[in-house]
Amino acid sequence: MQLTVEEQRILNGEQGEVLRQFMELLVSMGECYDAPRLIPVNNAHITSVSIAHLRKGGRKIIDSIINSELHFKVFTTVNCLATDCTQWQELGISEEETIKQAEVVDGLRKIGAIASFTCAPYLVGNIPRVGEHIAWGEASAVIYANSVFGARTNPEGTPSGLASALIGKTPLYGLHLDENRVGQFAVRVETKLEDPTEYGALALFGGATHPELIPVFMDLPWYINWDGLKAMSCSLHPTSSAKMFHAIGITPEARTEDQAFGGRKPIDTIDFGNKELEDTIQSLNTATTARVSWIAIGCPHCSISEVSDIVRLLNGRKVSHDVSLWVFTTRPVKAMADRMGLTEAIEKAGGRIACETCLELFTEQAIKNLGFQSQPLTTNSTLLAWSLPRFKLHGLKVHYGRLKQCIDAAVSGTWR
Amino acid sequence: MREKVIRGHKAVGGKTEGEALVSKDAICWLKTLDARGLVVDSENNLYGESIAGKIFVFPTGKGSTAGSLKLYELAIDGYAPKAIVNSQADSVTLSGAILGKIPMVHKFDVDPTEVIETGDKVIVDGDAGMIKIVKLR
Repeated sequence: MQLTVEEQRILNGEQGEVLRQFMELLVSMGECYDAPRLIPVNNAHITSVSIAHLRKGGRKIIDSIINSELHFKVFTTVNCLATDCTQWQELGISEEETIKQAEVVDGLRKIGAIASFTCAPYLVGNIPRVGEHIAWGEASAVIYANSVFGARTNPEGTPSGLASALIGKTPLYGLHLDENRVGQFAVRVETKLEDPTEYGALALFGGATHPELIPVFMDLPWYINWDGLKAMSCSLHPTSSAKMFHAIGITPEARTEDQAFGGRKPIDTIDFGNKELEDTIQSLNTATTARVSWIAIGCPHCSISEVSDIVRLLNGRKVSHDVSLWVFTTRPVKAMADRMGLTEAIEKAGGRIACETCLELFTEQAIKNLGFQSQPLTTNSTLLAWSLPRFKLHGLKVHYGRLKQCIDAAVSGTWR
Repeated sequence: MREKVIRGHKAVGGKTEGEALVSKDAICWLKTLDARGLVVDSENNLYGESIAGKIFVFPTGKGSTAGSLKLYELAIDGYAPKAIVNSQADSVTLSGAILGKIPMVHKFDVDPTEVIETGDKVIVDGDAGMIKIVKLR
């Protein structure tokens, strides 16, 4: 790999041992993919800052940056935390773990992180431009950035994300190159889609069909907005290793079929009709009892439009006394919800808004402390419905459906 | 006993040998495995097996980008595989393997998940980007 004089100096350790190690990581990764050189990036998003993921090794890396008094060179947002530090007791986490998480937050502040704490950094102003080379972690955000913004990033784990944030470079390979961004198979939408959950089911189905290929969604409705695209971005990666999709007429690199498929023919074309939609939703609907006890909305984090939808669907009704309704979002979105009276409406109904965290990032002990692990989870999130029973809470049963169904279940206490 | 050498591309240098464990599906480090390297995804063909100390063969990585740190933590705790053999290395697995100093080879002219079977002895030369498969059965 060809390095500039300055890059070579960093690799020689002239700017300290910590930067040398990060540069070595970028160079080793580049060499694995025959990258010709490093390219500049001006935007990073760092994954795994929740203490559920950031354990001994991760802490050692973060601490080495702080102790060397290094600072992020580029605009850098960070992912969700293990709890909402302003209401940790209600979220089941211990004081000890909350302090640990607060220490990480403090450290990230010292090295220049933007206090975003969200899996959807585009909700709080991290919006890369078309064609911009960036270094993002968090699979759902990576897919959103590549697909919806047309920005260019490989999926960056915490180490390489930190390296790019500190050095301002990433190796030129993978999704930074035109030839690896071409759509490979088509998914024809032949049913009416409206609710984000339906878009999530579409992406999960598409991803499972050809798990190593980039899907091109055809005939998505003109009115799909960021909520639908966010649900798709979050629901592709459980079943697929593709880190982007195209949608004809919707996403920037798919103005035409010819552009989306790079002038080639799709390897396969599959149909997503009403049967596929309902079968996909039913496949994640594993609960056999109708009783509802805890509801999670906001994976990925709710946009302000989704928070408004929750209040509209509650329509002044109260959440059943034996149901916990949790809405997960970012702190800036909650600030807007506060001013719009939406927070008050949700709280008056008996629900709660939690910021900067997500069930996926709770520690296992926190979920046990809440006593939820033996009760079915009710959610509109394709990712939570797919992943929680598989990895965090084995055997967990799930009610999975559209937002309206979840809010009606919150009120009645029954899944219908 | 039959031996076969297949050539690929260096991902992470280093030499080692051990017993192969072959996953037919892509791996999500965060979700396919627990903190001790046990395969906890009931849909994976290796469900219930431990990857610790094995030559771990799988097509590529998928899912969470938290996987890099997860693999690094497995290495620190002594539950990492001895080496990784991929059809195509993904960036999340790769950065975890570099930090954990786990030899890794990818991009062969054959599909390693087809030619290697669980239980085969595999000798990995990460620097040369080459592996030798010894069929014991």
